[in-house]
Amino acid sequence: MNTNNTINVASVVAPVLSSRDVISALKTDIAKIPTQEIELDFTAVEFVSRSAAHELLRLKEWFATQDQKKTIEFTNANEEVAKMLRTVASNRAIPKTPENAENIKTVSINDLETKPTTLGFLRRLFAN
Amino acid sequence: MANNDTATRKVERPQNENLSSQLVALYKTFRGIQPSQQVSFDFSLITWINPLMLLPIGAHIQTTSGNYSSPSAISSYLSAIQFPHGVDTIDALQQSKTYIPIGVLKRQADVGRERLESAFLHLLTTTIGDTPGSRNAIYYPISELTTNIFDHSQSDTGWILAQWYPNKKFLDLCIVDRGRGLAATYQEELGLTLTDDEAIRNALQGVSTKKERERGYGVRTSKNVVCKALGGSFTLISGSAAYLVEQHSEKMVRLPQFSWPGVIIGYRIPQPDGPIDITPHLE
Repeated sequence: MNTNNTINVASVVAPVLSSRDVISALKTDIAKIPTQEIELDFTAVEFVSRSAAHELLRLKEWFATQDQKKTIEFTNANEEVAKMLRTVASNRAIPKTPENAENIKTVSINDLETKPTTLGFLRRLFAN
Repeated sequence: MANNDTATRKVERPQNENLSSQLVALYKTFRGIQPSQQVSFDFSLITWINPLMLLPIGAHIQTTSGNYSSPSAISSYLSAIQFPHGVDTIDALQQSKTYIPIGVLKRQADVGRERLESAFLHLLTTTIGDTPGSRNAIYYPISELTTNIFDHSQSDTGWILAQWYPNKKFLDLCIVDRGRGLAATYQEELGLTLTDDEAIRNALQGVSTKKERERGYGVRTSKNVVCKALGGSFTLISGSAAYLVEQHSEKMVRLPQFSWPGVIIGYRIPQPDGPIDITPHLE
């Protein structure tokens, strides 16, 4: 349930927050609240993806820079959700150097095929 | 029923149950088939089948109005997972008693899509057993990889299928879209002309098509959670190339005469036997 300046995230969106685009549902609700301080209540939110956490942090920053300068506070987040928000926030400050994928060897699809054996034949015969 | 223009294609049986064998069988099944070609898939060689094989076939049938024929060995399974059309409501998802049906995620469903995905994840953890401290590791790759569909692919639909094997204690999962694929995404968003192989490498390196510099983590971190945190295997197919990690060995695979319009991701994870901290893999 939402109260005057509190939005229950699980009931407005879902218990698992995956997608960036659905965070816009919260943006609309936040904009409608006339108070300057808004509470996003994460009670019953089980999990927040990295992408959704990033979008939530951007949302918080965006409202802070608008004319009304709304302050958004994240409350009642479980330990895992809080950890995800902290991880993404710290990465926003100091991004890590990405892995190098240039050296991954390229093979033909034929290289993945194993030569048929009697044992393999029997395994397939009795599979499941 | 097949019309005169419908090609018939036998679904290949994988040599064994490894992800690489499934990739080979998927390749042989779709080799030479055009993305919009109507096909009648013949399952007569199949006595068991994994999500990586089944979901792309279902998505192809759905988007091209194709069809299929199946022997009795797998027909009850296909029916139980609602192949090929899947379900797009929470009620239909939860009605299934034996298997988790194919989940169909629709862009326009918005918050409804998020709730369907939440219900899918709940059903999944109920099915495989909710090992304390492991839920994040199960949820993370699914949530990141499905959000990529709606962030990047320009596809309005995503498909997801999971299958838990209680005796073998592993979970197979597949996520599919039939959008523009990685190479076209880099071309259209950044003006980069890349082969499918190069586009997959870029995605793995985190080259984002978005302006914010802290974007582009989804594929790489999901692969790391699957392979490093959970000890699983992983494949990503786009266009005519695939990336495969199996037994900690990674490779790019050329897929001549094969072209998937979008992205197919398949992975296998063993049942977690204790808490898993995914934080080191999130960067």
